Amino acid sequence: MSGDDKNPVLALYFEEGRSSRRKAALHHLGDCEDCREYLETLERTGRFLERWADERPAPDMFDRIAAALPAQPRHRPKAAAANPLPPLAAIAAAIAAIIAVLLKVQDLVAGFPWWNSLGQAWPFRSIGPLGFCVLAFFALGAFATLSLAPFLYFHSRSNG
Amino acid sequence: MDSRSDQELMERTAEGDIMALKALYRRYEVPVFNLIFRSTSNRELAQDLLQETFTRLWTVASLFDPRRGTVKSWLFTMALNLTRTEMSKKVHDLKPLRLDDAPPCRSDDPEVGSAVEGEELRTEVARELDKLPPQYREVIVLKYYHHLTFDEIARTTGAPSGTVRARFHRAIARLRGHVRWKDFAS
Repeated sequence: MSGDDKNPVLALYFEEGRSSRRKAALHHLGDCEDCREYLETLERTGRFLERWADERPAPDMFDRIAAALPAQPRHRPKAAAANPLPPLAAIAAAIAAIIAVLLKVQDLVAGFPWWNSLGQAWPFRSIGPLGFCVLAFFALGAFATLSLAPFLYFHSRSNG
Repeated sequence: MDSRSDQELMERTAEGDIMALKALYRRYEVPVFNLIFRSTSNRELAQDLLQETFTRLWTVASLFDPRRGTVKSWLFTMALNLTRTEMSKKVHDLKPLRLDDAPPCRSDDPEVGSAVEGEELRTEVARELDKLPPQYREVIVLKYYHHLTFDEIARTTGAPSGTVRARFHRAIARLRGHVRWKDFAS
């Protein structure tokens, strides 16, 4: 150990850490005036601080606490669902369901007569019926979110 | 003295048993109060924060998770967080401890010649602790008065273990610069 690193002296004085480290620190003290002085400082600090002895709070303190309790809200953990899915599994299942629905809707869209003309126009020609369905899905999602935003805002405000 | 474990008392407290809360209070009132008192040097404020700590314990007892630490360390963390929040408001009179705020004299200490001298010494401790930044002060208090390991202090204060040791070294250096060391030689 080096004289710059005082952590082994702390380990020695407070009897923390591995005993081999403490033994090494004890051995080092014989050669290092700086660390011996630091150890002495730790001891003096302890003697100085012990002048401030423990004391007790006011005897009626618990009565004051008890009197304040009925007004306090009590936090209760939410009851867990019977068989909660792990979040990742639930997200993966939702994504798989959305993809399955989009693939199904894609077949329907491709069968509509208006798709024959719309599908020739740029950019639908390059993205195809599946790309069109994905775009429509996100557009509907954004629209639904914006429509619900005022309701969610007022609902969260009323629940504190 | 209630023989139930801390965890049992916490479970009962979470169910609304006020006697369980009282048993926890009796078990920890002295260490929590002294932790706050030595961190603030203000008896009235320490009592207010002690009350707030146990009121909060009642409120959030159901959130206690024994896998994440002991009741004692949970209480210490709550008390320290409340103390930090209160001290950050900087509305308190942080003048050195008044003599009538000082704790009682240790009658078994042969170095204390008289009650007046004892009060002066205790006031001097509070004055020196007042000079330390709050993060240094809490490490010194938790180490010397509550005998927590550095790893336990790290968990209690939320600081990395290396940072806790660094704060301790700096606090010792500052105390060494102020304290009348000749009075505390072995």
